Amino acid sequence: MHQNIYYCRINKIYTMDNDSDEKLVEYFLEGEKRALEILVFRYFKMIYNFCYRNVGDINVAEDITQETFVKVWKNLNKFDKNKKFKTWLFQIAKNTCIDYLRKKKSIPFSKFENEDGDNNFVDNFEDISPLPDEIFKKKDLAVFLEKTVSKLPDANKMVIILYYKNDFNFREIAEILNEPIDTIKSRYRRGLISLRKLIGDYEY
Amino acid sequence: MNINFNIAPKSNFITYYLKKIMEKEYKKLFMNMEEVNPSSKLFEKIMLRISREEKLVIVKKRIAVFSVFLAISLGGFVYSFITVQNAFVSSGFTQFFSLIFSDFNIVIAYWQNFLFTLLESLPVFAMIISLVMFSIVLGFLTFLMKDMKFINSNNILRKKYGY
Repeated sequence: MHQNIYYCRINKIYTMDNDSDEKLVEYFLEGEKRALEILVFRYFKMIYNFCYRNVGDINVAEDITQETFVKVWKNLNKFDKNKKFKTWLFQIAKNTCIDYLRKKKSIPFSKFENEDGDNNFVDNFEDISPLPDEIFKKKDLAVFLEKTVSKLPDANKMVIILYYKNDFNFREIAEILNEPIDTIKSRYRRGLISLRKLIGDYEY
Repeated sequence: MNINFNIAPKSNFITYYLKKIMEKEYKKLFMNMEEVNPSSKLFEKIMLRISREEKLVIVKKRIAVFSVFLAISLGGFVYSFITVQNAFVSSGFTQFFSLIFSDFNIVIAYWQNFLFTLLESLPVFAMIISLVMFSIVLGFLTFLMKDMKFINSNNILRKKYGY
């Protein structure tokens, strides 16, 4: 009996790599510390990139990534199993980025929260013109894109990155940023318009 | 390109179609945005931070327990110290000892008997209890200082990183 439990545990450890995030959280709460290691390994690069694109400093991004996972570890017992772990993780990362920016640069919270004012989302993308073909032929496209995206307003940039780089849908982004879905769609649209303008202003 | 025609609102079909094309185009554009690689030690750093925080939680709990024990042992030590003091008086040790200052010549003449009397009147048991209590207090104090030092170093790190 005791041996059986032991083999079950060993088997669980070896097969954990393929388990879903939510299952890993469950294992961690049952006392399996390796489950947290797998979760950290699965997401640390993604979180680092997200933080880097928000704070623009590699060292600070590393510190925020560390802090994010410490917060995750501290609050895993409060994690709502009906929610997606990835969404919850990005929510913590976003809050940690904002906390850092507020402390270090004295950026008012309103910059992230109320940028859209009273404008509601209009589901109309006609004013976003198609991308020029030349853009894909650019040699230093990655560097150009990095620079261009960094010029976007913080709130819009966050939505664009979460949508295109981290594959979240609008509902999930709304949950991460704790905003109404229409605000998110509005920011997305504004972000694309600004991005399209910045790309258009560039001389090929 | 796969478009789900069933979910497309018929009245806005062209807008929906254009939106999908545009999204696909931007997705393609963002695929060119390179991932920024963190330092090779970031994963280890995160796990170290977590284990440090884990230790911090244990240390904080230990400090709370040690503080209670320290207070109890300190009380015990004070009580045993008063008991020793009383025992010295009631056993007559202080009177015998004072003879050294009042009748030194007699003490020298009968020094063997005097020494024996002094040893006999010494409150050994109470003294041992008091010493044990004192060493317990010192022990708890050492553990407490060690844990406080760990918390202090952690606070320095927090200040350094601005958290």
